[in-house]
Amino acid sequence: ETTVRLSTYVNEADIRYEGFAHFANLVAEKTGGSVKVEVFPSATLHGWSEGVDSLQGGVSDISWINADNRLPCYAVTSLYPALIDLSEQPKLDADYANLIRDEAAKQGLVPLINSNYSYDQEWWFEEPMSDIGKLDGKLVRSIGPLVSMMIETWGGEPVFVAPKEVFQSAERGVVDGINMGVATYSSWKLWDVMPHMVNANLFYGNIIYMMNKDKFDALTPEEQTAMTEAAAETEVWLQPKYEGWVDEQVAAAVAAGGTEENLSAETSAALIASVKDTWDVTVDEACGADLAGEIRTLLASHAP
Amino acid sequence: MEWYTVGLGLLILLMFFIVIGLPIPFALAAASLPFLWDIQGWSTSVVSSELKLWGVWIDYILLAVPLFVFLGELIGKSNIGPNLYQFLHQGVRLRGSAAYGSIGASAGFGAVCGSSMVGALTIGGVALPEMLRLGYGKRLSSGVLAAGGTLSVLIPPSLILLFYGIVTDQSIGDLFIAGVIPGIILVSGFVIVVLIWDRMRPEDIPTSEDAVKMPLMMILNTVGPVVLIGLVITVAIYAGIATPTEAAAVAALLTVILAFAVGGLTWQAFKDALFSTMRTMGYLGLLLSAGVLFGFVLTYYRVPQQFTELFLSFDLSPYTVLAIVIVFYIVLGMFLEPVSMTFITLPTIFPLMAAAGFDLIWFGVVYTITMEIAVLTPPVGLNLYVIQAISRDQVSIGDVIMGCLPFIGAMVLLILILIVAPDVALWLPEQMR
Amino acid sequence: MDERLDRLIRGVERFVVWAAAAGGIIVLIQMLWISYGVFTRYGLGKPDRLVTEATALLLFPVAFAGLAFALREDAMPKVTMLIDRFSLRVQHIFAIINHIIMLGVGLFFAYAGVSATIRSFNSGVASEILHWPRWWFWAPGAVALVLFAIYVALRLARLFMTITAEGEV
Ligand code: NA
Ligand code: NA
Repeated sequence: ETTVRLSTYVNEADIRYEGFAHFANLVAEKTGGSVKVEVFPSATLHGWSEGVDSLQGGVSDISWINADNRLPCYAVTSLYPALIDLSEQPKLDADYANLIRDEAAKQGLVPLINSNYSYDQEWWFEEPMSDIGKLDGKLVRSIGPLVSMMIETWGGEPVFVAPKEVFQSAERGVVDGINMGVATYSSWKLWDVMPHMVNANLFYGNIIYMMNKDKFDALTPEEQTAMTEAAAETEVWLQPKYEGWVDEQVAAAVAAGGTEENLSAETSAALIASVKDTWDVTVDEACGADLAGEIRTLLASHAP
Repeated sequence: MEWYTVGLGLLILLMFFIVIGLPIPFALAAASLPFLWDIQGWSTSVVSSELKLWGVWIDYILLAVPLFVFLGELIGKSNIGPNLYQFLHQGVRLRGSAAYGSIGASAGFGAVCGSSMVGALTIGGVALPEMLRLGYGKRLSSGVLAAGGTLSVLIPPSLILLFYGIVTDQSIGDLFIAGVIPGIILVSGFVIVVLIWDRMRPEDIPTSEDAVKMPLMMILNTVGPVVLIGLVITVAIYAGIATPTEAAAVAALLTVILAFAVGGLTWQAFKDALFSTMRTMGYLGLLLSAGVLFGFVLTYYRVPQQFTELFLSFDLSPYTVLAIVIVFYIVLGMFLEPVSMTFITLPTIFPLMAAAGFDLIWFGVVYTITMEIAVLTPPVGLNLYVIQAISRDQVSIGDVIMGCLPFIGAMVLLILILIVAPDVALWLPEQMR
Repeated sequence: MDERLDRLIRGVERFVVWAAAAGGIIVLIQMLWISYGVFTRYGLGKPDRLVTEATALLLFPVAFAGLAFALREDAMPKVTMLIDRFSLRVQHIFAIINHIIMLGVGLFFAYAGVSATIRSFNSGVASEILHWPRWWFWAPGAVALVLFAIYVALRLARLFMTITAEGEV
């Protein structure tokens, strides 16, 4: 019997936790109990940026991978400015993961579970906002280089706030706006302090949960197949639940006095166009022109 | 190994190390490392330790810790802290004024200090020799000062509330504000304890006290800074101007300026304050890391998960859960100190409290009071040792323990008040919204 | 021999104090930088982009810079209720046992610190936002942990020597 430790940052109240529990059950079922997945929620095994270290060091066997420099192409494409149609999301994610597979293997990692958050990457503001292309010097919390570049392009000031400090900062007016997923936003109860959401659809976003390659290779071929199938089935199982849960959170927030602003496809396209060329240069550098081209072709083939 | 074997094994090993006098941070690490090696082997446990050391300390909220410690040390090392006691003791001219002055000074110092040990040390260092000289009973003197020190963690700023907020992901600002009214009630409770003590053992309080009157200017230079700094911290957080870490930094800077300008702080005392801060950080650094590592080992063996499942299987009523948790913390508090308890047990306990329907800000205040009790109960009662060390040749550890008992009674009473009337803690933070 | 050891310990203690002083200076820098950050936000209406992340990273060295100093100053929280009841000789033996355990724990953390410094030299940035090399922050922490291990080893040696000295008397 093999025990596989899966480490995630989502907490037990998050719908995505149910996804991991579902995955663990599927694996047990498909392997007849020879592989046992133990889920460790709330980042108890390692911090946000330590997925690669944790997997390489054997602390966890499956972890989410952040924008880590050791996976240079993944670091700049797992969040990519692009208009995406999510009707074939699992297929898109699987193809993207395959493009990253070689780079991951060099670090001793295997992409296993995709956690797509394209549906769920929004902007929040203290005041209602109709055009995020005109940030007018607003201070907006950024999650990384891409988002910082966007905020600057649109006339805002990116502010670096560590995840734990986001609530306090929003509450104290350290920032006027925040870029973040609804799920995280809700679990942090940020609706109270920054109730006005802009649903902009600007990104392809996919945090991949990877597995330690040695640990994966040590499984029997049947067990390996069981793991990958369980992962793929979980993604399909979770997608509608996740989107429904996000919608529910937004509806509840609107009922409590928040606002939801949906940008038109044209507006989103224009916003993406204003930053895409700059980002493409970074991506070409990190991935090489060939791989960068393949990723762009893939994303373009899933445009609405 | 079964989860309960691991849980009990860790606890027994920890107790053994503590009892043989090993410093607590090392006791925590030494107890958890064998279990870590057993399950992870050498090289993985090295990586785990690296991840935990890094993960604990890269935290902007924790940055408030050295700043609040530094602030308290500056007050203590300048004339402000010592004078605060003199002023309160001489300002109130009635029977027992040195005892009431101790409570007042501890409360006032608590408004600028976040650590109960620093609180007990600063006010106790001045007040204990003075009270003994005036002829106060040993038990009353040491008890009122050991307990008075704990006011530093209920009245904001508070390191315990800060750690609680980090572990449970609650607003530090709300927690600090929630501690204000219970803190004032506890101060009143301590005063009543002394009043009753006077009735029951009048020989413990001298009939007359010689005291020099403090000049007005000195009073202003003493009370002024404390009020101003306390206000800056509370208002900055209450009015939503700054985060707790920012409030700590600005208040520390203000304290440096005031302590030099009116507090008679010398360059040497400034350096001493900085070194004292590093002394405290020196053990806190390892204490938090080792506490988190200890908790990590428990988690890796899935002890908290199994414990939670077992606990929930009894299907207890919310108030039964609360009663069990409070008794658990009072008993565990005899054997552990607050910081490690917070990082080891709270990640498991607070979801149970939330699931039972209790407000986590309210529970933060209740929890902090149990931690105040913890530093006063033997064998591991840090304030007991701090106070005894001040007058080692006159006061025995037994005197300090006995002296603390009535004050612990006041704390238990405050917990009951909070259970009956949760608004005592929650009303003020609600006004913030 | 005894004198040489004492001299060595005093020499190492100088580094112990310097490490604590360096940590203290970082605390002052954090205090000033964060206060300045508040000022730029309200005074100039322009936030300091680095302050939260940078000062948080600086906390890591501070957390370990004072470890050996705390031992020197006997500031570690501990419970002496039981061992105070024994004779001085038995207390001395307990002190040796405790120093051996502290040395073991210190060596393990020092090893982890050095290993993390080496690994982070080859890989990670400090955070996704601030692309400063992570080893900048690991290295001072590792140095403090190694310093602690050396210091506690020397103190242990002295404890061993004084017990033989007592035995001769
Ligand atoms: Na306080
Ligand atoms: Na205790």
